[in-house]
Amino acid sequence: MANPPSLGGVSPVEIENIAEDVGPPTVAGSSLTTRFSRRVSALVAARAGQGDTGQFSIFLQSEALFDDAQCCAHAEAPLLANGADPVTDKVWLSTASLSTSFELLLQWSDQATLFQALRDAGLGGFPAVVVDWRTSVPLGRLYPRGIEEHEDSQAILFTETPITPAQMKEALDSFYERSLRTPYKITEGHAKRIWKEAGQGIPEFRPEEAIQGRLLDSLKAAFAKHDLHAEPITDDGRADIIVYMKTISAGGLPAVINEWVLELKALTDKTHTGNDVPPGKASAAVYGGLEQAIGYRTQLNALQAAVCCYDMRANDCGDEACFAHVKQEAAHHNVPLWRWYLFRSTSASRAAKGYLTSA
Amino acid sequence: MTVAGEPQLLPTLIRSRLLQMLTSLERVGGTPIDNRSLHAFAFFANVLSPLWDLHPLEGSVLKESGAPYFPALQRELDYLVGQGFVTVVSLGRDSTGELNASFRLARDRSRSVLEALEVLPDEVSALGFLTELADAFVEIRPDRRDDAAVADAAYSDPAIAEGRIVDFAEWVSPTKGNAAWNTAQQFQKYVPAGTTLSRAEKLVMYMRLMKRRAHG
Repeated sequence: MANPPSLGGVSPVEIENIAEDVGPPTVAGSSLTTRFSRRVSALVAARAGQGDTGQFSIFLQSEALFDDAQCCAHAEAPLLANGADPVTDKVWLSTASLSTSFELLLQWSDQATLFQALRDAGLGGFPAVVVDWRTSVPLGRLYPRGIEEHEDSQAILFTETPITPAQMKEALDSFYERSLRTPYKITEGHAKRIWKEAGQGIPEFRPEEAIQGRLLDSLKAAFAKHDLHAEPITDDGRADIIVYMKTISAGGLPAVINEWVLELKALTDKTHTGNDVPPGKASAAVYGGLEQAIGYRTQLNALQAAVCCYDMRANDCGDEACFAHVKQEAAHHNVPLWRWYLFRSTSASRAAKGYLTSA
Repeated sequence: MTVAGEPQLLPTLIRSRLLQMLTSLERVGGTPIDNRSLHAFAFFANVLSPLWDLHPLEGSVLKESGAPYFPALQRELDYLVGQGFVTVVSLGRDSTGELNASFRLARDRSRSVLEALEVLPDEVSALGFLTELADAFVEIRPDRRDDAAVADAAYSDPAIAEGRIVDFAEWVSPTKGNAAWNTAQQFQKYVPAGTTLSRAEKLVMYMRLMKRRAHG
């Protein structure tokens, strides 16, 4: 019998306790901006609970805090993350960990002058979380590439309420528009490639894997009060994302509510080696995705499940044709079928948007 | 005490790794960092690098009464300070009379070196690993970071007495012969069925364990 692995000075009980108390940490493997967004969200939720009111807060993420703080007058706020200080109507500069922060003393009076003050201070390109406190529940928006790139933004959900299908669809749509719609967007920021040769329709090996990794990061930022976990990729290309929330049961015990199971499918007509995919494979993948979504939802006792198809085929056949063979079954099991078409060129994407179509 | 390949390359490798360590710490607000904490961070970077399929720069360390200390790392840190790549933010004596300094990256001076490293795939992977580690490391209270290194699975092994070498990758396998790596792998046994931990999750859980041990 093989010797057990040496754990040195650590006992198995300590390992077990950490695994039970901490579980798989959601921030692990996330981008710095997603970590920042989740920590800011926790702070905002804490301050909302304290009754903070006001107009706006802006939190800017720096990777060189002490250098970047020199852009304008500032005051150090080393304990901001503790949640003891009001955060509204202020601009904050911090790092992904929120371990120390600066209040930037900018002059502004409304949203227009606030954004202009950021630009004037050279802060328009910093990843930013903008919080609007004027509503009953604060509204958040993440600008991963700064307020200058205002079209590249996504909503952040600060509340612990269950994620509705509309909220999930909005987050997935936003991810597609920002990250997948065109080959150019896919390669931005040195992201893992999905196309090997976009023009020829040749995907990378297991494109679901690349989509899954990026989608997971995006959803972690959007659903800041939820935990997310990816299941492993298997040989049949399965790529699941589980969205769950830790809570306390009616009996006062720790409990986990599995809210969403997302079943991802990349539909291709070429293999990563450039060979043709047999006809009918995509339809089978959609059918298999629905089966898996229903199966996982049942196994995990999850509230919702959806099939998310990323269509990389030459022709955009439309949702109706793509899902015709599973539509009834999906409706019967209350599983939304969602599809996004990945254009092979920016010009094709532009054409599909119909900018030049006359009224 | 090195497993980093050609011995004559080691100083250069340590210098570049030091710049990456300070970059990753800076990204998560972990600078300025004091000397002891920096050695503690370097220690975790060495014992946990096999999680990322990276070879540790140093595969063993002398177990002393205090926290892990790497003389080669200190030499190269001094060199980087002298060359202006690293800034000394503070310098003084602690309560025991020992000289202690805190450091941060001199960004402008280091930029060209870091940009050159960014095009090397292994170094990109190393920076990703160090950033993941730094984010978990800064969750440990600043005055307990060296204690966390003392609490490490390999360093705290009761079978290794003070004055002996803690070997985690020198003459033993950096994976199965490394108690830190073994401990990180063990978390998989205790998570819900159907959950497969990523390397990042194992790393963060390991560092949370070190935090708990250091904070008491």
